[in-house]
Amino acid sequence: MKRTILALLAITFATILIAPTIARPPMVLPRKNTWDSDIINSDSIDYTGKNVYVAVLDTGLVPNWRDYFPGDRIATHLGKGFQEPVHVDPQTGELVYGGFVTQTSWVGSTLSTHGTHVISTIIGYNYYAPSDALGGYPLPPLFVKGIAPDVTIIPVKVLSNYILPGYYEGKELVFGTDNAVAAGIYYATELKMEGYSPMIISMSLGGPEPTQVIEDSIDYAIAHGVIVVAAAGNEGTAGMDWPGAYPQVISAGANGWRYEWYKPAAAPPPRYRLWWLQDNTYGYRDIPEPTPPEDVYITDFSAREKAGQQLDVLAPGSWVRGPFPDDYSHLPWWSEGMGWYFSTPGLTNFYYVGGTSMATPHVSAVAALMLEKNPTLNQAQVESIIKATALPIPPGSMTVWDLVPTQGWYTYSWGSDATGAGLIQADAAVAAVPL
Amino acid sequence: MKEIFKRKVLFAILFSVLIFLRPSLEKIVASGQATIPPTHLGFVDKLGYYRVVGEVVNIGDKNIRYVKVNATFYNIGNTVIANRSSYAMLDVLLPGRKTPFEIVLGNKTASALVDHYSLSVSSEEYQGEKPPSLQIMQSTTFIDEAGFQKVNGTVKNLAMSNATYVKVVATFYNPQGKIVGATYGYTKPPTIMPSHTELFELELGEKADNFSIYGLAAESMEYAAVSPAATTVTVSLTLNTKTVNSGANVSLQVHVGNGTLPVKDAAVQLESDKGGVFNPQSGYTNSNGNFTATFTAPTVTQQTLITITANATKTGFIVGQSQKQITVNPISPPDLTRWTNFAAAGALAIAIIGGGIIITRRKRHRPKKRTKSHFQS
Repeated sequence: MKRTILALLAITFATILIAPTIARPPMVLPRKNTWDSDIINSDSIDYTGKNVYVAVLDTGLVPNWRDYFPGDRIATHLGKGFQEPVHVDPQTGELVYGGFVTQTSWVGSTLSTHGTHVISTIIGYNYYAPSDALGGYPLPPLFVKGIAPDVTIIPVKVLSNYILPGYYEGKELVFGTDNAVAAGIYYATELKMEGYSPMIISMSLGGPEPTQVIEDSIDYAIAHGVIVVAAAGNEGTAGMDWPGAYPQVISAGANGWRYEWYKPAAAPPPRYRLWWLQDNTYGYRDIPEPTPPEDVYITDFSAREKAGQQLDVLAPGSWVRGPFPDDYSHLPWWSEGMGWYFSTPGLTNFYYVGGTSMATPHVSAVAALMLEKNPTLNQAQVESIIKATALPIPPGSMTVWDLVPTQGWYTYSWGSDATGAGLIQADAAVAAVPL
Repeated sequence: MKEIFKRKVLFAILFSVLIFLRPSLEKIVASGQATIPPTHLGFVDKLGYYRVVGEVVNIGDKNIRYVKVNATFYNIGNTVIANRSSYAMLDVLLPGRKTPFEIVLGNKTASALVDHYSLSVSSEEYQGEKPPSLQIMQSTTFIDEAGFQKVNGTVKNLAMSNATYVKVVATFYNPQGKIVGATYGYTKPPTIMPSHTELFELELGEKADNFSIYGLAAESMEYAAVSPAATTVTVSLTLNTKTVNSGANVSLQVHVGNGTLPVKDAAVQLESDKGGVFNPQSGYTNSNGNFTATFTAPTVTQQTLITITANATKTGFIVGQSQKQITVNPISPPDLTRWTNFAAAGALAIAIIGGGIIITRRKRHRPKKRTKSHFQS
């Protein structure tokens, strides 16, 4: 049976601005928006995702997740982990898959931070970075508002750490198998059937080819009223990953913002440490409403749609700030441990991370806002509304100041195969939901 | 659900006892040097799969590898339901050592029918070396927020070269000595440099609520774990001087012992932190536990303190180490006062060539009352 390794879809961006937390900040913090919530207009609506469940199928949460998230936003009693044993046969050197899944903790190791970052986009996170002061821009402790801050997160760990001697240069990998991911999908669907509803499955993961076991589980979930969102993939022009490419799944490509790293009214503009934080106190550059499409670019890595694939929408997936404690060993092998070039890892750091992994929770969170307004929406309705209200992004190119890949001015170009229906717009999507 | 789980465990324990009473039903087949002691246990896990956890012991006097355990599952009518096999968690098993194994019948329907099982084990002799050089330095167990048993700790590489893919294996025993869980993982990072210590974090997929003790073992591609019974060799490094000039020789002696007894054929490796040449740099101790070598000091431009390290190891012992420091003096410009004095004595003719000093003795001018030692520079 052919198997697909489902690798994480993350690209590590610069980690220069690491910030070790040195003390627990006050419990009640000022709530701030960021560029990504501004560009999708989720900062201007009253819905918060209350009474909506989002099962995040990922690496689980780091043990110190309470440093970042309000405890009542994580349904710890519903958390679950699934892993398929994979090992190297000592005699033949071949990879051997167990063919079954075992249950694991949803609490990942300190090295499994991808899921923590993904969840932070949905519900927000405590941010306190004393090193900002060292950089000349002191910030008080604050709470970065998520797109749907009142959602209830169900951590479902389907991506595990593996070391496979003789494979991938001996690097530690985090991945999930078809069986593990399918088990997570079925589990979330069972919860929905038990009354944890409405339920969204958010998958910042994907593999290079479709597999029946995954598609069957997705169809089962959708048939039972679960909303399924997945990453489009990070292979750019090579095409989309699966399950994001399935037409029945709502897929998310990754966009960026023209004025990333800009300091308002400065010439030349770059670099500005606090560009990501939308706050008047710190001289932010606000994104006008409605969002100008000419301020939106599509990343190189965001998967382009091929025949038989369906790319639905774009969401912020470039320079998304969030908690990313400790090291990068969980990243897929093609990241080449890039984070290590920039900093020494340490617990409770905050990093920029890019990838369609980061775009996916934005879409899941917007779906949660819609379901708060009308919990009876099904997959087709959510997809239809999100696409119909998206901001169309025409094919084009844009030169932006970027740390990766050039650490300077860089021109991104894209065609119609990269845009889907355009950039999600939370306000318009929620407004279009019938009561 | 918990009650059902407990009943299943109890049921399996009873059957383990029956192994001795009814060998026709629960036979264990040993192969060569490997055998399975009656500490194994079968139970249905949380997801409905039948699991067998146990351990294999190397009762021979040779290293073995490819330790593979086969389980045959039977229903209540003693009909075979399925066969499953799995490698033991340690890849190479030294004589007298044991390793856990776990076999999962990955089929829920079949698992529900399992009444009893039989086990057999096979292995083959491993000709290579697997020196015991990995030491579990410390470990702690705790239950994480999701209720899963975890073990954290550190492993130190006592060997003189990198240990790659360092695997740590944990076995959990209940108060009756039965194995109730086993798991393994790798250190982070999986390669440990010599004398370095790295972290490991293990998770037991199935809860071992009733474990009373646990055991840890480690191995890498190159090394085995230091046995709890193993002892550290004592290493003593002696230099014939504490100060040496650039480029000059120093005699070293390394003595390796075990208590008051000398250790013969211990592998010795010499290292310097700031250059210089050993001759030889490595070798084996003689019957007196001694190894001798010469160290040629490097040429330095200022006075330099060099640390010389002697590592010694032998199979069955933990690596021992000894260090000594030696001061290396730089090359100095000619001491004219001394030169004048020597010249006045008529003992030496000194020529300076290219910045170096050549001291030539002229026998005919040598005062007879002087000994050779006076002319050693």
